[in-house]
Order: sequence, then C-alpha cells, then structure tokens
Amino acid sequence: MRELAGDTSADRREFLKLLGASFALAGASGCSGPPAQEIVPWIRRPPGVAGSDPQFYASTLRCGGDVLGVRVETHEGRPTKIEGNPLHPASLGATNPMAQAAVLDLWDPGRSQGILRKGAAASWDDFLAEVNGIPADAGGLHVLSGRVDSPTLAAQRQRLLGRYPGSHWYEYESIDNTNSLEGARLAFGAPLGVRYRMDRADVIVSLEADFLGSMPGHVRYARDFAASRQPEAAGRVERRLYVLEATPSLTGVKADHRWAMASSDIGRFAQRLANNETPLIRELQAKRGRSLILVGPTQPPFVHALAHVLNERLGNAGQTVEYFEWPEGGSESLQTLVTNIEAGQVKTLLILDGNPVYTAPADLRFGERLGKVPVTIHLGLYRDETARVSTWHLPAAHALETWSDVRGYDGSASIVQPVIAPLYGGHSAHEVIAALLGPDEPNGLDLLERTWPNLSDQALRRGFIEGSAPAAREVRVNLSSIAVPEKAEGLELLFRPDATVWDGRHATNAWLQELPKPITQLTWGNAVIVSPDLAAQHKLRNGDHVHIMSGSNQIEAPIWIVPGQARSSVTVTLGYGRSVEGTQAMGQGFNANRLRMSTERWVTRSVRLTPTGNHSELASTQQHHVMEDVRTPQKLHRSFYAEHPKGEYRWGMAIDLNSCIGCNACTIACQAENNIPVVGADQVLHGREMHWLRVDQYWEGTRVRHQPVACQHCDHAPCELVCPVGATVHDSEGLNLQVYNRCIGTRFCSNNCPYKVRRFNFLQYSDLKTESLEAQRNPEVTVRNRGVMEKCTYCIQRIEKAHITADREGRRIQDGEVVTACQEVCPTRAIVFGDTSDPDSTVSRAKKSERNYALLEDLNTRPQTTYLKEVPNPNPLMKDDV
Amino acid sequence: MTRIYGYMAQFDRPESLLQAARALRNLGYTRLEAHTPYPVEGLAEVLGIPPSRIPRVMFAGGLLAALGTLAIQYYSAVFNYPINVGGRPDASWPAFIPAALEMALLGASLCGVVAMLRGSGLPRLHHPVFDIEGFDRATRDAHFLVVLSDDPRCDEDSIVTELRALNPLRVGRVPA
Amino acid sequence: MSAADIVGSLALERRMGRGWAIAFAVAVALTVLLGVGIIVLLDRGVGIWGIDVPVAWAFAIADYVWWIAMGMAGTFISAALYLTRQGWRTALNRYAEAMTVFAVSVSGLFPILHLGRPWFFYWLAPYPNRMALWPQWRSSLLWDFFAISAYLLVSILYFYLGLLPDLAALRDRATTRGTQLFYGLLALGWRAEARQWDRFQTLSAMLAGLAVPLVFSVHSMVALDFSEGLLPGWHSTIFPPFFVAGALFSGFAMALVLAIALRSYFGLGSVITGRHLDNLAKVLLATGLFVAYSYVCEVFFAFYSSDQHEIRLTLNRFQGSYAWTYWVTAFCNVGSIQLLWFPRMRANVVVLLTVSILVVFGMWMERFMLIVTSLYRDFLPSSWGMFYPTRWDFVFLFGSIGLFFALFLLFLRYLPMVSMFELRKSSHSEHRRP
Repeated sequence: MRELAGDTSADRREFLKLLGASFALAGASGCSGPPAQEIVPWIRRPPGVAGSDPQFYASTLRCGGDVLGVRVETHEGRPTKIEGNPLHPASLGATNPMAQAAVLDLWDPGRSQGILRKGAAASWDDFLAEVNGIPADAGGLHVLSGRVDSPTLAAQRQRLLGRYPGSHWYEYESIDNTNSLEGARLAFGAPLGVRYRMDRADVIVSLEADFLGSMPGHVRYARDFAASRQPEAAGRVERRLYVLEATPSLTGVKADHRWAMASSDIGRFAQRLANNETPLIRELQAKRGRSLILVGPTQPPFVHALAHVLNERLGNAGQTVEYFEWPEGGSESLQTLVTNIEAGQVKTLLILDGNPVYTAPADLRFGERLGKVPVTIHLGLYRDETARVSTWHLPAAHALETWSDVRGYDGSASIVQPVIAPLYGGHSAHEVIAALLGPDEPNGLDLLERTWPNLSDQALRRGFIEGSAPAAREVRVNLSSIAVPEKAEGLELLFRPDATVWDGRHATNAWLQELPKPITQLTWGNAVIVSPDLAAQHKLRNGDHVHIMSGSNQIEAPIWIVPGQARSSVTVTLGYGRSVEGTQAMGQGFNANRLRMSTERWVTRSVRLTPTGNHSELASTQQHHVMEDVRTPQKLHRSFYAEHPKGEYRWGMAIDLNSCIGCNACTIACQAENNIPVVGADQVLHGREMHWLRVDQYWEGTRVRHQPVACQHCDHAPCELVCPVGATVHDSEGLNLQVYNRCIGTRFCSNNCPYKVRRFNFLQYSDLKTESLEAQRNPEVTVRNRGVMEKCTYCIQRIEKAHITADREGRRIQDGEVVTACQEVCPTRAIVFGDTSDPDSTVSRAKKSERNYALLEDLNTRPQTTYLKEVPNPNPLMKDDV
Repeated sequence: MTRIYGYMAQFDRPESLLQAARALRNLGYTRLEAHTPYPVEGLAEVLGIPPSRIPRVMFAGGLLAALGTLAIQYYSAVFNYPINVGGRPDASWPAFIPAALEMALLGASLCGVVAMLRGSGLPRLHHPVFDIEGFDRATRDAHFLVVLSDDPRCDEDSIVTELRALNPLRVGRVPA
Repeated sequence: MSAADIVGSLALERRMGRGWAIAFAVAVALTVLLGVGIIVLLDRGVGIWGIDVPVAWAFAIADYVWWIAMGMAGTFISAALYLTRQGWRTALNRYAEAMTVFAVSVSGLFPILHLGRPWFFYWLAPYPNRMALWPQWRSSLLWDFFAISAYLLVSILYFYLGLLPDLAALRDRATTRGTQLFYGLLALGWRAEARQWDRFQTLSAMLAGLAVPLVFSVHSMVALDFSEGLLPGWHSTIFPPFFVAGALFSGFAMALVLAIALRSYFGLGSVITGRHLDNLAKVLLATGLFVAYSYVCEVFFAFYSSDQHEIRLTLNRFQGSYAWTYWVTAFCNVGSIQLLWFPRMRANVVVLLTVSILVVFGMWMERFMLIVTSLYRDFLPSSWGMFYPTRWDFVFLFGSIGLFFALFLLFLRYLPMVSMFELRKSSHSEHRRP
C-alpha cells in the first residue's frame, strides 16, 4: 500500500496502525497472508503529493448474476464508493445495486473477525497445523465452492486434485446457469456459453430471460438495448421487444408486448414458435439475422435448445448471439457430494465462501448431513448458518481485500485488485487452497502472474485483460428431437433470486435490504407474489398470510399482489429467513429454500395455497401505483419576477424515460455517495425512507413506467419560499441548496415540495457510533443529524471539485467533467447532467428533444431536471395477451 | 409637627363625590385627587386632569415599529445579505408587510402600557393615602376626595370646615 | 355581599371545593404527562409522533392552530364587545381574557416543540449574530413568529393591566400579610385615583381598538401558514377570513363551556345570567354559520377553478381514507349548531354545553382534516401515503389540555374570575335606574 505522509488525525494514525498490525501479523507467519505488494492505482498521482483527492483502483466484483469491472474510490486508503470501469465490457462504466453495496459489506461491523475452531478462538497457525495433518492420498479431502469463474482458482483446483489423489471438488450456486449449459449440450453437444449482441437485434423475443435485470451480463445488455432504442438516434430502425414470462421482471415490464404465461408453459410456446405456429414468427423472419430469441436460466434445457434451433434457422447465430467455450468447467455437483457424505467417504470438507446449509435445496438436508463429516472448514465473510455447524470457521477476505481474477458474462477475464489490507485478518479462497498445497504455492500477485504471465501495470491499472474472452465458435445445431412435457395443471411455484439480496448473501447488507425491489418495491423482506385474480379468488390483500404446500413441505408467508403475474403461478424469492448474529439479517421474511427441491430448482408444479388468516404489514416504499388520471396540462405561466443574476454555469439534468429500466442502481449509488442513512423496516413502513432519489413505478396494464425522481432544483422553488430561517436557498448556478446546519426542521419545505423529494431525519438515523461504518462514509459529504432536512444536491461536492480543478488549471469546466453519482452508475445512460447554459452540452441537446417535458410544469416551479418521454413501440398487429 | 399630605373627605356614592369635587373647584381649589372603586364619568374633567398622551404615544410607537421593521427587512434582504430565495425579488414588499403589521401593533401596545404606567405614577408601592384609616375600602365601596396641602387655596384652619360643608361621611387629615 | 365581593372572596379565601381539587389533580397529572412527552421528544426526536413524508405535519400543528384559535374569543369579548359597548361583556371578559392568555401560551409550545431541532427556535428572531444571518422574511412561519409573539405579549399585558384594579382590591381585603404582599406587589401600588382611572380607561379603549386588528391579523397569519403552501386544499385566499371565523367560533364555544362550568360550580348565576349564555349562543351560531359558509365556499371554489388537483382533493375529502374527519367536522360544526336557532334550545344549559363541546372537538377535527387531507394526497400519486397517530401524538394533545386547565384552575383559585370593579360599576348603574 502506498505510504501516507503527514497525517495528523489521531483516528487515522490509529487506523494505520491497525493496517500495519494486520500486515505484520500476515507477514510473520510465513505464507499466511499477502506480502506487501504494490497495487496500481487507476490514475498515477505525482509522487510526493499528499492530498485528500480520492484514489481510484480498478478491480472486479461479482454482484448477483453478473461480474462487473469496477473502479474503487478510496479516501486516505479507505474504500468509500464503487464506480463502473468504462473499459470493462460488462460494465462500460455502469454498475448494478449489488456492486454499489460491496463497499458497505467491506466495512460491515457484523463481519466475522476471527478464526474459530468449534466456537473457540483459534489462530491461522492452528489451522495450518490441521491441514498439515490431512494425508495426501487418503482421498478424504473434498472441497465445495461456488461457481468457479476464476481462472486462477481453476488452476489451483487442478493442482489440488493432483496433490490429493482421490479428492473431489464440487460446485454449487443457488442461482446458476446449469439449464443454459445443458441446453447448449443438447443442441451442440457441448456445454457452451452464450453471449448476446443486443445492439444488433431489431426484434427480441425473451422467454423468461430477464436480460435487463438478473441475467449475467445484464448491465451491458441494458446499455446496448437502451442505446439501440434511442428515438433520436440517426438511422433509427423500428425495434421491438416481446417478453413471455410468468412473473414480472424488469425486462418484461419494459417490453413492447408482454404475455403472462405459466413458466411451465413457455416451453410449449417455444415449440410452437419453432414449428412456425405463431404469428410472431413472421416478424422474426422478416428480420433475418437481426432478431434474437433468448431463454432465461429458469427455463428447462429443452427450451434453450429450441432457442438455439430457432436462432440458427433465423440466421442469428454469429450475429446477435455468439457461442463460446467456458475454460473453467469441470466440478462435480452438490448431489454427488451428498451421496459421498452418505457413503462415508468425506473426511474433510472445505467450504469455500458459500453457505450451503442455507442455500441447498431442502430435500438434500445438507445441514443434517454436514454433521456426518468429521472435519468441516468454512471460509466465509460471516459466521453464518454454515459456519455455525462447521468445525472450523475462517473469516474470508472481502473481494476488495483480495488478489484474484474472474471471468465475466462474455468470458473475458479481469483482475480483482485489493484496495485495502484485510481488516480482520481474513483470507481469500486462494490462500486457503495455497495452505493445502504447501509452502511452495505462491500467493497474491505472484499467484496471478502464474495465470497471466505478462500481467503488466497497464492491465492492473485498467483492470481488464485484453483478448481474454474466448473467441466465438462456429457451431451447428445437432438435435434430433426434443421431449416437451405435458401442459401443466394446477398452481406452479417459481423460485427466483431476490432483486437485492440475491440468494441471501446480501441479507446482511443494510443498503440492499432497504433498497426497494423493482416491481414490488418491498424492502426488508420477501413475499409470495400472486396475480390479482388469484388474490381475488382467495379474498386476499397484500400482507395476508398463506400456506404453500409442496409435497410434504410447507411454509407460511405473506402474499403480495403484482399485476401481470401469470394466473397459475406464484413466485417466491430466495434470500430471506436468515439470521446472522450482529448483522442486519435478523430473520426478516421467510426462507423459500425450505420448499426448493434439487430436482425442480426453478419450478415446482401442483402446489397448494391456502390462506391462514394471519397478516403482516410489508414495508413497501410506494403505496399508489396508478396515475389516477393525474395528467396536467403543460402550460407554463409568465413569471412576475425579474431574473436573478446568472452564474457562469447553469446545472441541469435530463432523464430519458425511454432508457430507464428501473433497476434502482441510481438510488443506491446516491446513498453510497451522499452518506444517506438506513432507517430499518419499521421506519420504511412509516414512510420515512431516506433515499434522495427514488424510482417511481406506475402500472399501466402490465407495463410499468419508471420515473426516477430527485430534487428538481426548481428556479422558483416552492420549498425555498417557506423556510423561515433560510436553510434552503438558491445559488447562481441553478442549484437549490440545503444548508444542514441552519435547518431547524419545520418541515414546511417538504410539505410545499410538489414532487415530495425532500427527506427528513425524524430520528437519529445516521449511525454515529459504529467506527467501521464511519470509515465507509464519503468525507466530502456532511453526515446529517436528526431534525434536519436533506435532499438531492446534484452532487454539489462533485461540482465543487470540478470548479476547483478548473480554476486551478485556469479553464472552464468541460462538458462531461461533472458526473453525478446517479448518472455515473446508470447502465442505460438514462441520466444526463451538465451545463444548460452551453447550447452544445449533452444535456442541452437532450432537452431540445421533442420528448422533453418538465414534471408538474403548470405549477410554475421551473425545474432544472426534465424528462424525455418514453416511446413504446407496440406492434399494431398484435394484442398484449395471447 | 408632622407634614401633611392633604385633607380627605369620604363619601359613599360617586355622585356625592362628583358634586363635592365640583363645589371645591368652584371655591378655587385646584389640587384635588379622588379615589373611587371604579371609574366615574366626568370626574377627570371636574378635577382638571389633562387628557392623556397615551394615544399619541401609541401612534408614534406603532408607526416607528412598523417603519423600523420594514427598514430592517429591506436592509437585510437588499443590502446586507441578499440571497436568491425561490427566484423571488430581494425587496419582497408584500412579504414584508405581515411582520411590520404585527410589530406595529405590538409597539403601539407596549408604548401604551408604558405611557399608562408613567401617567399613573406606577409602580409606587407606598403612598400617603394608604395610611388613611379605612382607605382599604377605596377599592370596594368608599369614595375619597383629597385636597393636597400644597393647593394655594388650601388653608389649614378653614379646610376642614369647608370639607364638612360638603356632607361627607367623615373628614380627616392625611399625613405625608 | 355584592357580587363583586363574592368574586373577591373566592380569590382570597380560596375554598374551591372538591370538584376543583379533582379537576386540578387530573390537570396536573396530564401536565406531568406532557412534561414526560417533552423530555422524550427532545431526547429522541419528532419521529416519536406518527408524522412521515408526505404527512410531515399532523397533530402538533392541529393542536397549535386549535389552541391559538380558542384564544381569540377572549380578546374579542374584551375588545370588540367593549368597542361596541355591549354591557353583557362584563361578566365574561375576565375569565375569557385568562382563557386567551393560557390558550395562546399553550399553543406557543407547539411551533417550538414540533421543530426537528427545537433548541434553535430563536433563529427566527432577527438578532445580531456572528454569521450575519437573518431570518427569511418571505416565509409565513416567520410571520407567525412575529404574530404569536405580539399576540402573546399583548394578551398578557391586556389581561394584566385589566386586572390591576382588582389586584388592588384583593390587596386591600387581604387578611394575611403574605396574601397582602402577593397581591400588593402585583397591583404595583394602584390606588384607584381619578387620574389613574382616566389613563386606565384611555389605555383600555386604545388596546381594545388595537386588539381587534391584532387578533384578526394573527389568525390570518396562522391561516397563511397554509395558504402560502401550494398544496391543493391549502392554496386558497379564503383561508385568512376562514380561520378568523373559525377562531371566533371555537373561542366562543370554549368561552361558553367555561361560562356554564363557572356559573354552575361557583353559583354565579346572578352574574353570568341566562342572558349572557343566550348572547354567547347567538354569537356561536353566527360565527358557526360563517364557518359553514366557508366550507361551502371551499367546495365551490374547487369546482369553479376547474383545477383537477383541487377537484380531486375535494372529492377525496368526501369519500377518501380520511372522509370520516370531514363528516365529523360537518356534523359537529355545522349540524349541531342548528339547534341554536331555537330560543328554547339556547335556554337549555345541557344543550348549550353539549353543542359547545361538540364544536370545540369539531374544530380540532377540522384543523386535522385540513392538514392531513391535503398532505396525504398531493400531486404525484407515488408520494401518496397515510398518517397514523402514535401514542405520543395523543400525549401531547391531552397533555396540552391538561396544562391549559391547570393554569386556568390556578387562575380561578388565585385571581378574581369576573371583573370586580366592572361589576361594582354596573351594579351601581342598575341601582341608579328608577
């Protein structure tokens, strides 16, 4: 780590001692920790200049179904914010909510902080002594990991299997793409990876493929998809999206046509499509080579195979869809592990950063079976459900504390670079495997250089390894017949990853718990999603409890009604019902894994649903989702007032609703950048969530209109007028300012804001006591106390920084130099910000669009933020419901 | 020899007191005071009490307060710390009125109260008349007419006689 | 003993009776509860109440408006009835002024306590400070600060100065040295001298003349707290006259309640006569009709404006989630007073008491309805949300009632509840009539 000169703050000195101490500990025991190695920052700073400018480091993060190249912003050695890496093909500068939340995970005070052996404190040396006692050829060593998408870990796996003959390595992910791989094997004979070119597709048919929300590559796909649908783009072509799905997803609600259909029936539709029995096929044929059929990971393999058949027939292969080989296949399945445990073969089981006791399907009874293994070693960030029943628990190093590499959705590899030494002496999976492989095994950067021999500073700086994506392969479908199951009867139960806590790994993250999940806008819990018809049939309201019975398993859970849910489907999201002491996971929601079967991991048919009569209040952030005929005439009145003198710049924002997919990345980015506190489920239930930016959802039939709403920075701000102490005023550059230390909290400004974008600290929400949370905070933004109003500031700290830099260099601020937090992370580039007094700036050009309008314009607030209307493109020959 | 404050005559009805006061005035007495349980119509004129300054003081006080408040608002909003609030003009005259109005009413009231207390010689916890025997009934049902000893017409020997001629309940000396 | 003497004895001998003692005990208990509430509020924050976004104002502001409105009648009885030479004012104006002072004091707590950082409330005052900061003059909350300060000070002065002659009377009748000292200090040495009476009369007339515009303007300022907002249902010029009418209405209702209570408990039937009650009831009816007219106007303006937000709000008031507040208000404020058309009803003390209490309750409900129905559903449907009170909301409401009555009951015990010198004067005038 680079040395920091001249720190005077006692806290920082204390903190650096901590860093130094952990380094010393690491170095003292030989090969047990990363040696101090030079990590390369994103921008090279002149030597000898100590400053408070943040340093950026490139790295990569796994974040719920995607792998994103990121830049980590650090202040005085503390990572405070995650931004996308513009050079990374999966990110192109954007992130998703889980990537944003990673920095909070790093500083989570509930993280596991010490090695435990049977619940008692132990040391790394004790652990080494244990592993040294494992005989090399007894065949009793078994390793269970998550998806092996790291080339370096894959290489270590090979070496381990070699060093311990008879040992086994298993992979298990709660949310995986085995269906897709199996489908490729059915069609092509090999489990190929599939990647899409959304920018080349004029017609997209998605069969439960949530490529804007939860599929690998969704950040990139969202960008390409949105960019291709810009109405003002030159050479505009009619582009259309059709979606068939059972439960509304971000992709589905954005579609031009959406058909709600039971998940089990989608395969039959795919067959009809393949047999040219639907009208849709005509449009696809008209766009040969420029269409795309894609299938989601929740659909069975045969549907994937059918899609491959169709794409080939329509000439899409190699155009809008590419196939490639995953270099790192080859682990065994969880079922095999369970079989081996039952057979008594497993003497030592090493669980690398997974939580199978919680995430394994219910029928495997994994927690119970784990008890039959003599020695279990768990490596994880938390002392979770698996750790509690394991012999050894090793605190894991967070991704931001680790050297590693990982392959993304398209197979390209990028580096995981640590930005801070492990806070609690944690270890990465590589280090644990290295401990098993012996003292000659390299670690850290040395280990990476074994996989990537010519790893240059350049690559570390950029984070992305050029040319590492496997080339697209020419393949032909080799398929004789496909077995299509019978039509489903009765109610089907669908399992889906949760939009914010994924498979449960983020249930400890307060930001993700409080982030409203798209579509339901629920926080701090999950629900059984049912259609309005089903709810009416059982006379259920939101929050009423039902029993769901699948075979002999049963759970009780509250329901949530979602328009557009297929009538015969109910959906449960995974990731809840978790309790980890000392963290935010305190038993909220219900554990859907209890109903999940290893043979039917995505759909269970013929389940029964009965109301129980109980009720809970679920914390949703929006209560009304219908526009209620609130359409205002767009009539701006003449102003009575003379104009105030203008400043050098006039900041403004344009949000393109055509591009916005409602992913909520902007909401959480704003929270991370501006030190916005978390309030908890009870307060969200009372309407007191603190997000400065919210994405409003309005249902129109089965489509959802998303609208990100933050402070509009009105020229004639109604809030400024009514503040008796002048805590909110206007600056010469068009910003509405909120002066925290002047605010006495009358809340008239909130009452008078027609957009209701102001947030009030009704109680002391900011946690001022937990030290590690203080470390996460952005030092450039005040932390607010109770009794004070706050709201979007157009990231004034970033504007000021640009001013300072420009003044220092004696020039004007360039267009694109100031990027607000929300703008920066948006996958679809929906938010544009800049100087509206410059007619050539991006934002000025966006505002010139015909689609441009101001929200509630007739109230004469004259907002600086305007919106570009969404332009759906329905097919005039088709109706929505098939 | 004790100094005398004045000579008092006690009556049981305000009409009697009024009549007596008029009589004394006709005789040329000028330094007269009366104490009654409630205000008596016409008594102030008979006793020659000049009209109060209170209305003029209140008007001045109110006007000053109003102008002062307007001035403070104008000065602060236009010169001292002009700041853009909701795009409204710095000199927001309509908005300046309420505070000025309220301060005018308050200023007038405060000035009035001060003027009244000063005009009444209050607070003054001790006064010679409190030593008059039975003066405690002045706030109940007794009416006292007092001739001050410094009245030029007042003559130590004849005053008591003249007072007795007015038919009071009783007559007495008021020591200073 | 004359009526005035009876009143004086009550204040001096202070044999208030068991009813008073029980009422005072309850009032003190509620005041202590209020104190606890204040401590918890200052310690934890306004989040202990049920307010949220969008409904960031609810009980506290309703309480504030309710109390300051009830103060209006006292000033009106003292001042307006004085200027219009209404003799029946005499029996009522003292306790009504006391009611005003206490109501305005209690109401003044709420704008301070409802702040997120109440310890900085003094920033609303323009005082010299290091940062050269000024309050923001265009805010109606700031106008409120001046209005309430002026109103409180003027009410207290008006009340106190009006008391001076009576304080002197009590001083003169005091039997113990302690009591004599107490009243004597407060009386400032008043000796009922003609010059003093003359100045007193002048000031009374002038203050009466000031007090009427003061009370009208103060309640207009309170109303502007809402009109300055752009919310549908708030943003209307009808609010100032509407609130003034409402203040008179609720104030007279409270005055009537107190009149009936004092009259029967202290046996003051000869002082507060049936005629007084009848007149109060007539004023109550008149002001109530004014308020009813305002309700009708609001609805008319909403539809006449063709503004979709106003129309939507008006319809929602009739049938939305808080419709019950609207209809309870209509029943209490418009419906119940219709009984007062009938002289027989006005002569029936039970009816008067019931109607008055309904009106007092109805006026709180009206303020609550006005605040919440406009806030909970404003412009963007995405921000619509409900308000549910917490126990602390009720603690502050009932605690404030307790505080008011504790103060009022203390007033009854230690000060003459009817103006003694005015009683003497009017009884003398009556005796003089042939």
